Amino acid sequence: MMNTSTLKTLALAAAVTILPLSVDASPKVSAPAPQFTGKTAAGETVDLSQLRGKKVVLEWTNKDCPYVRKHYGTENMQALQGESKSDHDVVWISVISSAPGTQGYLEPKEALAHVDEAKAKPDHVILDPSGTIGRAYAAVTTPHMYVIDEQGTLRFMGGIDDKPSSNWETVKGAKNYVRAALDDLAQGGDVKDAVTRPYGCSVKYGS
Amino acid sequence: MIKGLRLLTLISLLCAGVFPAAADVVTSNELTAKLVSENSQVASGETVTIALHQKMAPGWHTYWVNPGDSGQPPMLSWQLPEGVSVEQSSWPAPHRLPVGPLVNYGYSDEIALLYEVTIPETWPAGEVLPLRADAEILVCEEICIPVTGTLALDIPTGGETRKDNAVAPMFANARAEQPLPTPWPAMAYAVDGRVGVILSGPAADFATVSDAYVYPEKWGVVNHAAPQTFGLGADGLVITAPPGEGSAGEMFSGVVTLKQDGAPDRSFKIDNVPVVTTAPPVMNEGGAQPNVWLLIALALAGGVLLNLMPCVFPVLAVKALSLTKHADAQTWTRLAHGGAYTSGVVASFLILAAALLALRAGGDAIGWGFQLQEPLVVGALAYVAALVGLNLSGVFEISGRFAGAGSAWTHGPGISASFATGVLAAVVAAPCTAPFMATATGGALLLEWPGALSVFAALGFGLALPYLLLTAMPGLSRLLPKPGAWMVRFKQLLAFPMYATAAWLIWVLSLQAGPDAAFLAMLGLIAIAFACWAWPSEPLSGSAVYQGVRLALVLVPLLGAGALLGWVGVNAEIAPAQQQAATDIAEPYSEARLTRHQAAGRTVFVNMTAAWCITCKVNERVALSGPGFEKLLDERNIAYLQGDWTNRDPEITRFLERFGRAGVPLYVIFPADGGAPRVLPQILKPGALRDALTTNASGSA
Repeated sequence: MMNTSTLKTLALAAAVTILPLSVDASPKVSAPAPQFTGKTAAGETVDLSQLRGKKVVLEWTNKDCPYVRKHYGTENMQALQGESKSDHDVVWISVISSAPGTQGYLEPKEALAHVDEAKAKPDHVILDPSGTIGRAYAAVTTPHMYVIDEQGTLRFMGGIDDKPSSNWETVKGAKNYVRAALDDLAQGGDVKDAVTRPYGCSVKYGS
Repeated sequence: MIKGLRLLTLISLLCAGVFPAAADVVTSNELTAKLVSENSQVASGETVTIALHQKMAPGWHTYWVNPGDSGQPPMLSWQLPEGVSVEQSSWPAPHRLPVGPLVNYGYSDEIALLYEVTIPETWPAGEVLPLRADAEILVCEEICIPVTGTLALDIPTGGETRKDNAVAPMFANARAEQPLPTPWPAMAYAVDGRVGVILSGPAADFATVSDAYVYPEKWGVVNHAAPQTFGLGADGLVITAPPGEGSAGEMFSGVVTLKQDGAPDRSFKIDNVPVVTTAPPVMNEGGAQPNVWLLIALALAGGVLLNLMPCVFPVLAVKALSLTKHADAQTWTRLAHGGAYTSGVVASFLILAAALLALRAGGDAIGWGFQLQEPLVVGALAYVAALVGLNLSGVFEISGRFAGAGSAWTHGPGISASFATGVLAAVVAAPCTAPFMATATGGALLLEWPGALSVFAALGFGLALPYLLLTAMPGLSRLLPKPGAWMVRFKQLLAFPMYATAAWLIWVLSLQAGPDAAFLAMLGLIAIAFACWAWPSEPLSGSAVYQGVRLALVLVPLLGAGALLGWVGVNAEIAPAQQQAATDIAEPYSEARLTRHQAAGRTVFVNMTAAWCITCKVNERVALSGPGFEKLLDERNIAYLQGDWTNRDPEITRFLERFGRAGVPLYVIFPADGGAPRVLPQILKPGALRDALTTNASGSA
């Protein structure tokens, strides 16, 4: 009898050591992107599942973060938004997960005004002050980028390029991972750099 | 366009209070950074040390080579004269810097990064050595400010190198911050769902380790925000972390920081060791050894307390009352009985403890209370409780041989009867020790063999102590009430706690092995009652056939009861018992779930329970249910995990061991900010629970 129960214990122990990875909550490339429904600055409701059939880019942002300022100040982000939409028919969603009272938190009107001022071209700016969407995607930095394909599968997540610096000079000559991911997808292949190191300011989550 | 950009850059830099012109210092309100030479004069052909010294405002941080979830390490790009080279020494040991739900690796207050500068032989003595570096240093509190500029350091040269005494303390501090070479061979591993480092060395080296953390140099090897665990494995200290988003790669470099009792934190450099991906190391979490004497004292006190348990008290009461009839017996006879009884109790506990230790040494993940995790044992204990109850009710008598009955008191066989009573007391106490002795028995399992057995022996001795005292001091037993007719009624009254014990054990059995098993065990109980009823009250006489029938009336039901129980035991092996369903508000415990909720920045409350644990059930009724409790969980966004240890579960056993326990109940709060977990008392009061959950859940801003 002890033998059977010892075996059972061993089998259980083996199962336990294998399990944790498969049930981990953080999003995984090649797996379905976490679902969300968000309220935009314009007052609309965006449901990710309604965007099937189109590629979606998620961009975590905080207008006062020096790393975000690098990409907007050099118009690098606006250019990427424009060409993603024209060349790849992407729905571009900027997400603000700053909690009220923290850096980068914007009321709907302020967010719309900022988009105009920066000449930014997102399709939607989702306000996520509770950090629910940010936590579902394990977004840690601004900027932090995600690319979702037409089937709703997450295909890329991570840093926007390979120059983890706030120095504006580093934009020129950087390898932009979002552009590369969209190009890879357009050619029907796998994304070569599917997970890259996100860099920037921390996302200002509330408690 | 480009010109415009430059201008913008300049303006933004000026706004941040940073001057891009070459200067000795680069400064802002939050950070002052400068290059410092260790020597007032250096000689050609030598390698000397300089430092990038960073002084931060309170609450602000700069970063390690791997900054963790966000942030950026300081970057210097050097402009050096021909032939001069600069190389960074290893980074100072980092610290964990929580930012909301994220964790960064870096430095606070003040830190100096060290660089080795090599001056060519050909450098003309007397000519100043100009070192320039474009610096980009990110300094963050909640928000981040990049501080940029060009740092300058001019070092005089001459015939010999001369130390600058003014900066000697700063360099001494900087060297003290460097991680030490590890005295133990190190190895890294990455197996499904876990990564970590093993320091190979004798257990004694790590006995006093109270915290351990591994910082990988590469981003994404570990989940930076998730807590790490550590423990002693077969080879030495094992530190384990949930993996991050990146891959572990083939080689590992990083820093391990150990906190040891009574010593400052020490950090060790792990340099380019291979990453093993085959087998996960075996480990027992929580490296520190508990205090043996404290555990023995706890066990002794716990043993004394056990005498009051409903499953033990009746046996003890009857045994003690039998003393009153013999208050005049000779001291040595009384002592012999007390000693025999004590030996019976202690021997039983030692056998149980030895079995437990042997099974654990064989690799079984079990703890104290394991005796109640086998349906067979639970059923057998229910039978014993019923038998004792029926005996107390007077359904049958074991003439002169058992339970210290009067006629055998002064004769030889009485001694072995006292020993048997001791064994019986230990057996009926077994279900009660599990829920009530968690601290002492749990600590005992972390000790070496002799220490562990001493603790269990102390538990048994405590249980035997009241009776031993009664036998040793005749004066005491004279204080007991005078014998009389009331004693019969009293004995019968004592049967009822035993019946209650049996009913409770059947309930436990029903949760372990299902309603069918409980039904069979109850049939077994009826068979036992029948056998007791058929038990001859006086020596049998008459024909052999009559005697045979009378004997069969006792033996057949007893064998039947045994067979039923056997069937329960075998059947429970074939169809594994169902776990008791977690309540609506609780999720079943798993290591993965705990890690996930923590990574999501939630406060987690863990409740480890079992059906056979009375304390657990009382707590669940009193404090861990009801609208107030549910509302609290909801409002504070607390994840409530419940682990059911009614049957064996190695994952729960590991969790118990991490907190130095071998049994349930165990209540632990993991604060949302990743701070040290807090263990709550085993008896929960609703008010205290509310306070504990409230303070720990709100301290996570």
